[in-house]
Amino acid sequence: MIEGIIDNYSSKIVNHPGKMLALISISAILVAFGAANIENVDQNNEDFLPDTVDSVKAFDVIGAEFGQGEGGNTYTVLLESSPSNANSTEIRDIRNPEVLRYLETVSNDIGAMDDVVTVNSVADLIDNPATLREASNQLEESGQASQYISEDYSFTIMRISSTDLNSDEQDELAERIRTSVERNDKPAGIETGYTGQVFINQAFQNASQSTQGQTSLLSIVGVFVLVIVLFRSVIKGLTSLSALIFGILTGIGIFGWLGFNLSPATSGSISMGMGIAIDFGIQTVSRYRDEREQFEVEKALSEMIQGVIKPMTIALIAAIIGFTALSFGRITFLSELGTLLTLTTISAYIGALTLIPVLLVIYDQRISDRIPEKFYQKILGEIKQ
Amino acid sequence: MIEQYLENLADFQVNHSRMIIAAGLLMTFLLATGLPSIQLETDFQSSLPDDLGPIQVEDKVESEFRSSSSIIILFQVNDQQQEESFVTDVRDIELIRSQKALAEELRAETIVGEVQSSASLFETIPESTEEVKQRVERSGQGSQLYNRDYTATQMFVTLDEEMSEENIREANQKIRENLEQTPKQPGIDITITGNPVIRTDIGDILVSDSVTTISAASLLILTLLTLTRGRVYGPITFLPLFVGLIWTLGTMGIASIPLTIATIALGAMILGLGVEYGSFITERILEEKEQQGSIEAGVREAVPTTGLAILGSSMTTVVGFSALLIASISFIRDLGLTLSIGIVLTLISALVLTPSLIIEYERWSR
Repeated sequence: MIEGIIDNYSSKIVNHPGKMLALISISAILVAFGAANIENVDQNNEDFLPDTVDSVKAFDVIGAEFGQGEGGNTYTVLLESSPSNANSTEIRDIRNPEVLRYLETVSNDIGAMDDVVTVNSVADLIDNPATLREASNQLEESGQASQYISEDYSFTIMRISSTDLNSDEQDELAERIRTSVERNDKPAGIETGYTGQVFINQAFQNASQSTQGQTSLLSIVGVFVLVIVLFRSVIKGLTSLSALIFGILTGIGIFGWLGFNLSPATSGSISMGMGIAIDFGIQTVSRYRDEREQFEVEKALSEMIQGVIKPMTIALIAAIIGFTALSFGRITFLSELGTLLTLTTISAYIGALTLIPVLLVIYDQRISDRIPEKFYQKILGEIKQ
Repeated sequence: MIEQYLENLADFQVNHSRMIIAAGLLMTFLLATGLPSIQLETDFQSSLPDDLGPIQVEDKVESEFRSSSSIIILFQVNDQQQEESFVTDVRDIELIRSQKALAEELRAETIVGEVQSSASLFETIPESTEEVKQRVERSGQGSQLYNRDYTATQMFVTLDEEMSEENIREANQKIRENLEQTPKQPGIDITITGNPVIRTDIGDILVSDSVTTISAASLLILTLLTLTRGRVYGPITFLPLFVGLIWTLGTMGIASIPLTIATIALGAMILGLGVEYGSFITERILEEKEQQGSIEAGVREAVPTTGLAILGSSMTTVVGFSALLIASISFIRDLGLTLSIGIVLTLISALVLTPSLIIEYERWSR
């Protein structure tokens, strides 16, 4: 029965390759539009630290109850003395009244912002000191200076806690804090730094986004070069690659339609998907090449599909098992990676059995007479049949 | 040239299949010695690039104020079960008394350095809750030690020794032992937490998750292979795959590549992706055996042809994974590296061991 279905399918492809190509392309484009729904989101700590663990649950309670407002975040600003010249009058002791006044101004400025619950800094411990000695005395009397000032008095921190905000609001508040710190006149020789989970997440996000494009590009170029070398043919290399492109586009499209987003943890998935998805393309093109040595187009196509469908299906199921197993553990941040790889692999499998046969037939029926494979080889010069 | 190597390999497999199996076993034992050396990397922060500004600032703040390196004991009012005698405000005198006793016991432990809690505010046990409230207010440390509605308070414990995993586990154990001996206040739940404790807990989860995912994937893939290839060739196809996984994990141990929150994915993914190599080669050998009439001829035909195809397909997979080596996040790099190593080793295992095992089985069953 399966043989009959495959024969019919092959016949349809051979007789109507243009219609089939249009149908597959339109379907792929429609599905791929789902990618527009995907956003790059910050990594959520809960993805790494499952709150089913008692110690993590207790830590979440501490985060929500102590010093971080109503379950919000803490933003830390660091002010450090960093004199550029050895004999300059730049500030070397962070207890300098000028720095403390600056801190007080910034604290008041940030404290007046919406969403800010508390601002804690060394400015809370002093009362308008005129000299360094006076400031030192006031700080010593407070008994809490060591919470904010380093032992060598080279830097101090300001802790800001916010209400519970969503990711965009957290980023916006981080930007407002940064603007406030930079906008107010900073004393000479003082440098600023920012940390806390929101600033770290932002940096993490930027770092992963910047390399995601590079890894994807490197991956597709590497895979393309390798398939050309394998087949010793640009045409067959491009045809194999079509299953990969189909798989990645539709896989990501479905991922988007399902409402998933890309995070730093899934940033490597496109490169990995390329490495996995190309396999199906290689197998189908390779088998078709072998079958064409013996049979005409329709028979070769039918034999190719019959030959590859069983091992490809086993490989697909096994790969899905491997990817799905990622969701079985308690640390589930990799489950989205597994989902994306599963969708990409299934799509590449479908592409290898739909798009590739159509492209192979179109090439054999309509293009090979006009542009033989050697045409490309002449252009490239190096690749020999 | 590669075809020639593969033809030579097929000849060697036909003539020395037992020797190949013995060498495979020996290599498995040797690499398995690396398994206990696999290190756990549970500090998520350390997987981020060091050159990021917020990470550098965090390191600086952390080294000076040690804000997140303490073990924290959280005392929390249990609001699920309440009776009249239960403590509802953590400024309770009896709770302060038991915290003080616990702190003294902990300080007596050689591994423990400083212990700080709300009890540290009182030299002697206060006589009334009112006195506690006044003292807390005067100290200015209320927000650090108590939450807003006084239903939770925390005790910070720092270690005298380095915060290594071994020391954290020892300190955790000592704290638990001392907590058991400390009088409990009704209605108060006590949990040990803090970044160091979470790290050791996550380490335990990494190990158990690895075992779970590898076991689940192994069982399902073995079942799949047995259903599709039969009860003999299914396990024969699976065995080299599993051997390849042991080689990969052993290599991780020997090469000091840590098991991280990302590389726990390795085992299941290697099993899922590596199965096709053994599967293709088994199918082709059996096909060729039918056509050529002998297992030896089948292996001589299948290894050079299918071997070349799976070599090509595995190399494209390795190229895809290797691209991750330029990622800025170290656990993504580790994942790319270990998956690339895993694919190469499962390919070698499938290409070398599977035909030898099939030859030996066929000769034995004759």
